Amino acid sequence: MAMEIAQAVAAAKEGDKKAFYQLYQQFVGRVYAICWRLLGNKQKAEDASQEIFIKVWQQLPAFRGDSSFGTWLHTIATRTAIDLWRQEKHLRLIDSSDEQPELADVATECSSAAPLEQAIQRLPAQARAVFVLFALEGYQHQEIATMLGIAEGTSKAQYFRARQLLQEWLADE
Amino acid sequence: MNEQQLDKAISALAPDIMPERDLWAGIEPQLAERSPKVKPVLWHWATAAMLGLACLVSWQLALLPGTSGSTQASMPTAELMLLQVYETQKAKQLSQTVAIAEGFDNWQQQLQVWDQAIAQVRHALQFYPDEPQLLAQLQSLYQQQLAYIQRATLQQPLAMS
Repeated sequence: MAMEIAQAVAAAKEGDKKAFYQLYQQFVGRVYAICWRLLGNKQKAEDASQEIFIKVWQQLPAFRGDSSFGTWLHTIATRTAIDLWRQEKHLRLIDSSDEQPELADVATECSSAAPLEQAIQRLPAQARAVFVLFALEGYQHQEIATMLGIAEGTSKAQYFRARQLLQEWLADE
Repeated sequence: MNEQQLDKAISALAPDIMPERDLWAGIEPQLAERSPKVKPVLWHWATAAMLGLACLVSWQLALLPGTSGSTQASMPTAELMLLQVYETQKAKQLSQTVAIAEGFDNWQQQLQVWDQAIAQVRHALQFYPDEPQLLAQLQSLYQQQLAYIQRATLQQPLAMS
């Protein structure tokens, strides 16, 4: 598999769109998962995923292979999704850190998802972002703090808060 | 639900979630055709910058006192020093460029805008040699241009000497 990806990357760097489609098929689930969990909305996650793959195509000639393609793509996906998450937060013109989506909205968006997946979507925006980045994407609090523009202590506190809420909600079910 | 149960539920989450519709249809039309090669273009640019630097140094040497008695007064000292320092730095940065950062596709046009502004200030310096405000303006333009190159380019690490 690694060899196939490396070949597809090399061909896509030269402009082979079929090779890039192979990479898309291989990684779209991973990219969409990051976007959906961070943005909490199907349409926005789809738009973000498309934007990420277009960005990856544009930046591919500069990819030197210092890390694996998957890691490189994951970094672009996370940063793009966070940028969109931040824009979304600013667009609301309110501090969304305490805003929680209605349960009915969440149920509509992810009715077939696992209970934990649904509960994550109910988390306040900042707590959700921290939880997704730390628990699911493997970033450290220091990295998360930099990405989200918050203090490291805030990241830790939001993660703790997210875990408490999730435990509470999932215990009720 | 206790801590362990939550951790277990987290580790059971699927790393991938497939979108409900195929997103490729919206991606494919927006993939720009690749220009034949990117690096050679950069190297041409860097080579041109290095050649420019070589010409500048040769010119400066010809003007230095004692090396040529004919054209010493052609360029004031302060302007010459600025040119030497910043053109050297610019050529060095460009020669170490390996790729262009995202969002800086029109970097060459941007550099040309600064080059034009620099040329205009130098033209004015021909009429008002060593005018402090013009020299400060020249220095400011060079600093802006260098800062832009720094942001726009991905540089290869410097080799340890």
